[in-house]
Amino acid sequence: MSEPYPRPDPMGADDARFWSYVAEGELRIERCADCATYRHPPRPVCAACGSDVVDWVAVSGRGEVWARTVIHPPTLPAFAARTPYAAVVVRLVEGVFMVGNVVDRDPGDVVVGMPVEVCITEVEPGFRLPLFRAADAGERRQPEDPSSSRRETPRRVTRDATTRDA
Amino acid sequence: MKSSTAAAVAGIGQTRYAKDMGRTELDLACEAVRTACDDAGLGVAAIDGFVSYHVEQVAEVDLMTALGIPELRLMLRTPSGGGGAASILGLAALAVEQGAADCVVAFRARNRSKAASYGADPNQGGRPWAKGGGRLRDARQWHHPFGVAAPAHEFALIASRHMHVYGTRPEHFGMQAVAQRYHASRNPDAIMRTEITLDDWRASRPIADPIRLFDCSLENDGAAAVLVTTLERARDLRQAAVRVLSHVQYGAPIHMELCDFFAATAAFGERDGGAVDAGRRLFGQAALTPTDVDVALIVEPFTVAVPLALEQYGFCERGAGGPFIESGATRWPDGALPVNTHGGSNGEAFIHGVNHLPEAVRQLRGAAANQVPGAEIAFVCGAISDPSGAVLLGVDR
Repeated sequence: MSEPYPRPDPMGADDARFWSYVAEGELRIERCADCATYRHPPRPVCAACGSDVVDWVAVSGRGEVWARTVIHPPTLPAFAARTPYAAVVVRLVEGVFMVGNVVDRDPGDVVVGMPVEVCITEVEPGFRLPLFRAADAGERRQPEDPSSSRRETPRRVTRDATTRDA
Repeated sequence: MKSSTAAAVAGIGQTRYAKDMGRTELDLACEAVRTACDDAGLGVAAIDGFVSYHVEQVAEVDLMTALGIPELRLMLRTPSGGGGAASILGLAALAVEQGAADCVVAFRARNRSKAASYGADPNQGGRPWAKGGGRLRDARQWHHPFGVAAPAHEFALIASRHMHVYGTRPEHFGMQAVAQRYHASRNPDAIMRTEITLDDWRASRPIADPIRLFDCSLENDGAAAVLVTTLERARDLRQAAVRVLSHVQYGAPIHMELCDFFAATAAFGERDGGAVDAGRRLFGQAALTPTDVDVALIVEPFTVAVPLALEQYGFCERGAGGPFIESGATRWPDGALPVNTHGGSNGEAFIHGVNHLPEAVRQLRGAAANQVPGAEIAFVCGAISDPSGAVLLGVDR
């Protein structure tokens, strides 16, 4: 492509933390440490209970395409050379929504309802994005309870923005 | 509410709508405001309040200074772009009803052609990706890295969900585009005077599937304004008073924050809230129902906004917006509920929806280019995809 990707340059610590995990190859989402409600994009407090203590949970990355479009010119300079391309909104099994792209399907084959899973992809040297690829529907037959079956340790963050193992 | 504190629209004003007019937004705003005052038979010195969008580039004090208004008692702004189109009228009415001001002008001025309007400020014109120097410090960080940057992209995603849930077809949006272009073809003030067919719509280039070029709002210059005062005062002015029967706002995530939009809005019947509850309040306060409405002005950055608004405000069942349009209901003169009789944002002009306000008033004065015979109740709502609102207007009788 002719132009570099527009890169997040977050001012807030919460947003920066999301992108730093992505840079490490992880998709971690904020989950309230008190009531276990997920939220994305990152926010300073839990809208469900008001707690400001969060766990950054490594989530399954699985979900379904909730909405899709195929974008034609004019568009962002970084994307101009690959129009038409598909963009999606994915609903993760944890219940939060993310905008993204599906990397392994032609634009016309990206449809609402298709199961996908995250694939953190280095789109430029040193820059990773949480993209999605088609998932086998069979793998989703029993969505796991994300609060009980994590393999990875959540990282707890309190208002002073220190990180420790939960 | 005591009748003495009821509010009414006493004047409407608008500039010519065109591309590349070469006039500043202040210049355009001054003309629209003065025209609204002339229409009412008032001098500009009578104005004691302004209401506008938070993205408005014309400052209240600049208008005050330019027009020679001696004193302002009220300056209000409302969130969002096209979402605020009805809200600015509703807030002007609220101020008058509460006695906070006596003569309030709600306005919007846009110059999409002027170099000075294409700046880094997100509230200025220009391509969405040309702002902020490519550094994404705000909500754009959740969209732009994935190539989602323009309102058309966001509305296309919203439309796709509606299509998936309800079976709405792209042609439904096209049919509304065709109806509005027919309305515009008969409106001398409209920019697009050529009627189109559904085949023309199909042949227009794709922007973001399912949105085609002819679904999109125009890019143009111009300004529009409405003057609101007490019903009592309006009755003594030049034009027949148009009553503000009720007005509502609602908070909801905007299309520019899609993760929140899909998590929280009522756009698809999967949740209530937003416009659905606001619509109940709107009609309840006026003791009216959607079937009482004679003409609807629905702010539509893209035509997909029309079926969504029709459904959420209760003009048809959830999911029935597409078939409602297909039935011809929204097309003047024979439709049961003519929508955007001036030609709307893809036909008359795009003044961020505020050009819909003068048209609602013209319909109730019996002075519209595409007049709905005997229109007594008009509905106006802001863009459905934003923090938004609606008003009901009625003839004075």
